[in-house]
Amino acid sequence: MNYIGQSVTKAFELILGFDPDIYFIVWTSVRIAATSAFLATLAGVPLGLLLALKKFKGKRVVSAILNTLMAVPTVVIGILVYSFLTHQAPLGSMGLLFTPTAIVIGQFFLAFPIVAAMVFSVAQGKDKKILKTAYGLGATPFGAIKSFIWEIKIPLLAAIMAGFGRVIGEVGVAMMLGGNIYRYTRTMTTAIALETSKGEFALGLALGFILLIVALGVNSTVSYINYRSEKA
Amino acid sequence: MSVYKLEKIKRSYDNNDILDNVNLTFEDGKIYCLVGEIGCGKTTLLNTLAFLDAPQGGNLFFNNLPSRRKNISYCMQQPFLFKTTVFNNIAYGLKARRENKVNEKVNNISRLFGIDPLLDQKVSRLSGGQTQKVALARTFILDTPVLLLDEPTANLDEASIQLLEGALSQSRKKGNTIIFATHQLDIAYRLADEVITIHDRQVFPQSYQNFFAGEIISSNGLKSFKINDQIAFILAIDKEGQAKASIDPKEIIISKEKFTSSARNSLPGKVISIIDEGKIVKLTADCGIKLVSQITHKSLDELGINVGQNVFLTFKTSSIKVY
Repeated sequence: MNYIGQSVTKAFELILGFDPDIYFIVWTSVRIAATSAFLATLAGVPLGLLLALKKFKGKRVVSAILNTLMAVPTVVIGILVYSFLTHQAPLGSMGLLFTPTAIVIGQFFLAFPIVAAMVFSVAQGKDKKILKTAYGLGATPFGAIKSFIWEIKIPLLAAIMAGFGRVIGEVGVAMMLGGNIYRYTRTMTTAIALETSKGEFALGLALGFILLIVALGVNSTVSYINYRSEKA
Repeated sequence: MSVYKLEKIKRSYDNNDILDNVNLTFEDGKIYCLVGEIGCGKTTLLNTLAFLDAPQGGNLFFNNLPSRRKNISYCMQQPFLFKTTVFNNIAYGLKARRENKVNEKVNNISRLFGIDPLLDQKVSRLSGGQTQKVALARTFILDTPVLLLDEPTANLDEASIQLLEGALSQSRKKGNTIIFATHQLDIAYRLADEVITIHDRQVFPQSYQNFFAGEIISSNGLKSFKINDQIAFILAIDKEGQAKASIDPKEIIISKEKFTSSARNSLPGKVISIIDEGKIVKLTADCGIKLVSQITHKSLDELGINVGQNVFLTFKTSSIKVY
């Protein structure tokens, strides 16, 4: 017990002492996860809206693929992207393996199906009159879609946050594609795995606490926006 | 000059035909009303006219106006309001069209509909009637050559309906064409220049047949709908007083002799016109009032009825719809 207590105390010392290594790791994690979530939003929101609002052949197949992708373990995504980025692979010459970009690519494939599937679900349940009303008042197709997105902004934000949450806490892709390189591709989760295997519980715990705070912050923000939206 | 021309328009949902072989022309500057029972296809026709639903057959011509988007505005049934303020909802179409003087126009139209005190309110706090008025104001403000309104009087009290009438009258004076749908016949007749009936997937570009104003009276334990001193129909209804009633022309049986049946109403009359309307024949008889009956060619041939002949028009109490 004493050992755990000492580790917790040291973890707080590292956090409150603004240990540069810890905050570099945190910054790397947030930067990579935010970029992945942003790219997943750019691709996932249009796909989700397309699935919800348009009728086309193969819609069910796309939806089934998205649902499957949501459940794929991170290491499977990791190995698949790895097989494209490794030196012998088609994209090997780009030298992306073991870079933050490689992690972003892998994490994009983790966040994208979540964002797309959640937007699909939200948009499908939303009143189709939004678009018809907008068109009926003279909006262009772009203007009508903009109005539709505005109407679903809260659940849309929740979908993006869910995508971010999926990648900020994952370890498989970050480890396999980033390589856990000190001050380059080391993220909170890969650092926790490394420090724990080294017996350095304090650093692992400190990062674990920060990860929890980030997760709590994200969820609280979504809940607050939701609350304000319902009150409005 | 016609604004719309519809030729053999067909629309169905899930293999159910809603509109079939619809042929219509809408003239410039008139108020049209689409009437018919709930679910008869009024909304489908309006959606088609608004180019929101493409017809699955036939041709729809929108004449002499280059842009549909800028020339049509549509207020849907049970309107959707954007989750923002009343002001932003009313200004939505103006902003979409990048028009000027938005504030001034919003203030004017909101005063016309009596909703100017609500402009800063969030729409989630509006009542059903206020929601309807905001949706109407949002449509009328655009002042487009064509206005489409689906059940515009829903949720409105009589005072608000009068405000709507004022807006319709102003819009018509500007030469706009207004097409609205309702299932309330009295409103249709009050507001529209022409009433178009949708029934059984078809449109009838003429006034609803056999529509009468009168009074429901009670005598000898029987209720009857009295149109004038000579004419009264027996009714099976509880209420009394002033009312309007219509009889479906398909429900009126034509015979040369009076016959005994369970039908409570049988009026003698003289055939004044027989008009071939394609699959059916429209027979009009003068019984003190003009009653229209819809029969098949075969029935007409078998009966051998001609104009000027005396006939009996028989119908059940359940065939009389009271409004």
